[in-house]
Amino acid sequence: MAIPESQNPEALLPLTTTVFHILLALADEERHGYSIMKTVAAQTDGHIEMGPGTLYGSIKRMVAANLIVESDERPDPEMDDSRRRYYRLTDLGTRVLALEAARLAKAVQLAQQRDLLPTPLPAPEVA
Amino acid sequence: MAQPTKEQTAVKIYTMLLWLYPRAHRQDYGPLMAQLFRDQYREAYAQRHSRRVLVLWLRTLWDLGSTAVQEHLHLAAQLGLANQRLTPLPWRHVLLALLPGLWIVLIRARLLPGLPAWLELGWVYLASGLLLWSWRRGRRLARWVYPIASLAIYGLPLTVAGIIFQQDGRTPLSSVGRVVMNWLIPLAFAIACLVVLWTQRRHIRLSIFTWLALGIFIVSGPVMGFYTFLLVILPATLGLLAASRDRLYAAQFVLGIAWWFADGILDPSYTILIWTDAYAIAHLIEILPALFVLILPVIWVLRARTTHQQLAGMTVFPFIGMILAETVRFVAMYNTERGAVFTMQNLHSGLSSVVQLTAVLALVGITYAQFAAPSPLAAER
Repeated sequence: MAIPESQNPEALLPLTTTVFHILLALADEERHGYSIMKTVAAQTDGHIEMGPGTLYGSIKRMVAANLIVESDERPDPEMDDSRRRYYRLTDLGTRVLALEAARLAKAVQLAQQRDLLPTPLPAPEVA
Repeated sequence: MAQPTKEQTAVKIYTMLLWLYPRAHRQDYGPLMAQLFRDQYREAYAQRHSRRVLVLWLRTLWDLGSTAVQEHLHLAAQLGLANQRLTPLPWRHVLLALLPGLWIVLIRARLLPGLPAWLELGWVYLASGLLLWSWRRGRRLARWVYPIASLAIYGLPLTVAGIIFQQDGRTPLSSVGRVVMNWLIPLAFAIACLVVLWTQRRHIRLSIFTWLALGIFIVSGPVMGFYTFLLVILPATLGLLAASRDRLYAAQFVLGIAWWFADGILDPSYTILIWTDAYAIAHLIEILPALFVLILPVIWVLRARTTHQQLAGMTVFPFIGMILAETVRFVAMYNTERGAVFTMQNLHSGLSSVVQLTAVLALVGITYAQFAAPSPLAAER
């Protein structure tokens, strides 16, 4: 069965840096806006510090593209502000993220072949 | 406790600034954005470092300004204002649309020393040639030649009167000349415009807004004087070009209004006379409004291949013109024999530039919004 154009992960590539890092932040667990922002800042060593406008503008378009959805369940309702909205990856979002990561990995591989990067790469520090 | 008060104030200010976003975006995400800002503020404040709070504000304001524009553009795209392909108007139509601008340039050029008075009538020769061309090609007068007909009604008597009553273009008008040029000819043209519009009312189905605006300008024209009256030429006659092309009327209408504003904004010739006695330079500078409103944007708009190009042409050229005019104005003010001269008039002029340009941009926005609607003139072609 042919994948509709809007559901074809290849059609959504390449991702913007912001979208890629938001998807990456949601790869391991559901998160709310502030948590996404903090995770993205941590995983980029503070290089990407999104403001509310950038974050929710991206989230709106990612929801429209079916990359992420608002989560019905809250991880721990007792401990959390009920006004927060949590987001999680969709299947499409997961596939798009994997494809984009592979695309970037290929670019890194090329850079290594041209002696621009050490082989193997030093492990990134995870905050 | 001081912290909650400051935090509440900061969040309140940020919530007010969210007004800059489109309403739908604000309703969906406003509370979440305010919540996120509250979290960020709390974190910055907890570090007990005022610099962190300042940096947060600066970053947030930048984020707010840039993403608010982005959201409005996305909304525009959703409303169907996405880029549409257009067929450029043939050059002979473009030349007709350029006539008012060329007319202004020729009027100004006549004031330069050594140039003959008949030069001002140059547009008549050009117009006559175009009319003949149109006649030969179409066997009858097409609707798009109305602008030139209306220019003949208004511009020809005015030009001839100018040559009779003010041969060198500089001497003050006699009382008879003033009555003829400032009142009788504009009044005759206003009546002619109304007659043309009335007879063509079935062919040009304009919106109520446009009729209202036309009415105001037609009535205000004779009262407000010569240049304001150009507004009547452009909306009432150049606008009829829309009969030959979809969605053009709105663009022409806005250019007409833009001209009205721009004639005040882009003409720094009065200021430059503080700096130098060279009237020739001042007259050359007087060409700026015509060049950046009635000539360059018209070419760009009518030859554009996409609606985005059209929009860019309508906005970029007046901006360039304004920047040039303001530069000339400030150079003139700083270089007088008495040093820098700041008068209330100059200050007012600079401030009004900003206000008026904002109004022009708002009108351009209205025009662009009209692009989304089916052309009221399409069926008449």
